[in-house]
Amino acid sequence: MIADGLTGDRARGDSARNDRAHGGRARNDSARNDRAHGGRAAGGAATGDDSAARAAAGPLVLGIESSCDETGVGIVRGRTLLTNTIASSMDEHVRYGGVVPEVASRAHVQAIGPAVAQALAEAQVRIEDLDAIAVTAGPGLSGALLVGVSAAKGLAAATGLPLYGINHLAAHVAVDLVAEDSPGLHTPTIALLVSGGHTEILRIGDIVDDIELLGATIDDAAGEAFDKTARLLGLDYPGGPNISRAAAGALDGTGVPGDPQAVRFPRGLSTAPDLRNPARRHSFSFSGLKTAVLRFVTAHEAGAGDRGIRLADVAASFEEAVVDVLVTKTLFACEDTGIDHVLLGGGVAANTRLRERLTERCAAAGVTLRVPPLRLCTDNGAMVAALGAEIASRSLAPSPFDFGVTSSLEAHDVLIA
Amino acid sequence: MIILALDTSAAASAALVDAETEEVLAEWTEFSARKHAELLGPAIRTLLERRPAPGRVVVGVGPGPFTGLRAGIATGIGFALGAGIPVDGLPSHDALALRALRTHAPVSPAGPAPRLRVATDARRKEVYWTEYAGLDAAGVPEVLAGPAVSLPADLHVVPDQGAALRYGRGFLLFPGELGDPTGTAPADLEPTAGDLGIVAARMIAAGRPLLPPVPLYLREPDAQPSARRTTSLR
Repeated sequence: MIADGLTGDRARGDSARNDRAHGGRARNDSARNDRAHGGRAAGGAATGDDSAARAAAGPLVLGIESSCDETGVGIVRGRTLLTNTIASSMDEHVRYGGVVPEVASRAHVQAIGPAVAQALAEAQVRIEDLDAIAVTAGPGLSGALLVGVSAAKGLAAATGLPLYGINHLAAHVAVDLVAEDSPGLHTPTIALLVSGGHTEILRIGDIVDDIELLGATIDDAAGEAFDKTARLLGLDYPGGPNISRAAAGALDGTGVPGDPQAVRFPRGLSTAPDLRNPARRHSFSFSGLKTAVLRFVTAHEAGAGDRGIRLADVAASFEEAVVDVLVTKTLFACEDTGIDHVLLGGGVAANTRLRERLTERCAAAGVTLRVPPLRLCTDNGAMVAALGAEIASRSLAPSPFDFGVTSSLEAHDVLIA
Repeated sequence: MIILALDTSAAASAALVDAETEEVLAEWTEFSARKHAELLGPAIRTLLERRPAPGRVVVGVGPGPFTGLRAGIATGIGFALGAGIPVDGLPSHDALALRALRTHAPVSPAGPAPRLRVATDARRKEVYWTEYAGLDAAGVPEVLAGPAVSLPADLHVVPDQGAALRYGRGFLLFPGELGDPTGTAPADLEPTAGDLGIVAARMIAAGRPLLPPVPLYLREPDAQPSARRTTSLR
């Protein structure tokens, strides 16, 4: 079963045309389709003519994500992920050392049509089979968000489908509803979201009705700190993986890991008065850490200090400082709320040191840690579709059709209403 | 066939145009729009109520301020996917050119076609401009030069600067450098979807290819590649 001839042909035509500029960067979790046909929704989903089974499987929702540099389109049936198509403009940002909003927006408007067409084809879903559309309305880069929201409105205007404008942060948590290895999203949970644009600790009482921001960064996001520090150390964007490689001793040919205790870099907002202050206890600051690395490096280059210090030591010590404060404050949040579950999300979840330390510290504290598969931790459309499906299954009203993007959308605003 | 035309290069504008008769069946325009993404979706829904379904989408691809421009293009791409119909682009200045050249037809069919310059607001004290020679045999505005982006003062030295017709907000913003606008109605200053749809109808009738639905930016993103830092730390 494939999209009807006209739609299918058209989608391929547009795709081919846009490929000139955006060739070959869309990728897809094609393996996900296996689950769609073998999982709990298989009966209704596969035949498409058993409406009772389909209803039981939950609403069929297409989700669009464009808040930063990934153009993501996911399709979910209830709690079953059918496809997760992502086109990334990350390569185009490398020479700038970070995400340039205008570059990201340009990539989105080129990628969005082919990404939607590809997602529908991969999921073997026709537009007219969909029950709803969901799109990230914020927080994020406003020009980037606007492309996804506009495309979603065009889809909704053409089809008459309900459109949900949803919150990117909640979607990072909701994605665990559709992860194939998930025991199901456990609530209440603390969520630690860490990426190039976000560093937040959330209390999730309910994925739609009860989200509270406990703390966030007051300056750089953790991923941004990795990027900026990588630049100081002469390493390329994206900083996270390159700093981790340097810390592992993979860049100097020795293979000898750096000593994470070699340099004691500052832990932001972690003094005793900070930790007594409820407004600072769960909050982060990474700009001072970046400055401390700069000072250390320039002093070292000027010939000061321990000449035995390696790049690997500095990278490992920096990584340790970031990870330490993320993990420590997450466990404070558990302690303070009495919640014994933690969910990790965002691109920095790819950091091995963060996952290791969080695993150790959660285990020691009797807290259950959940880390969705990494491709669902980074920005993607499946997380938007997952939250959209949850909202649709609760029969909530669609967002007013004149909603706009909100670059600083607050965590508790899960659905634009 | 019905064309759904969208242009958000300056105004936010949507229209349904009958390609055979060139009749604008319905049109909505918010001039000097600020909230293109908010306004356009609801406007399209209203436009389509109790009217024939479009068979293709045409979007103005600018030039124009990028964020608003992309709202219209992305909306058009999404609509086309949702409806299972094609989407193509056309330069937004063609809409103003058609309006100018239809309003000011040559005195006799053999007479010289009026020269036309379209100049719209490019912000940063610059204008986007295109020069046209008139309408060609298919009734489509024929481009002489542009589209390009320039400081108004630099446009003086462009050859053939004695344009007889001046359309677009650029002339209202910089009358000293560019001359006064010929028309000052809102639709003489900002491209509208009805005019764009008629250009599209004529292009399609003449079997001409349209553009891909990709913005005409004319400027590179404002970002400097970061200088690579080197460190003696090894």
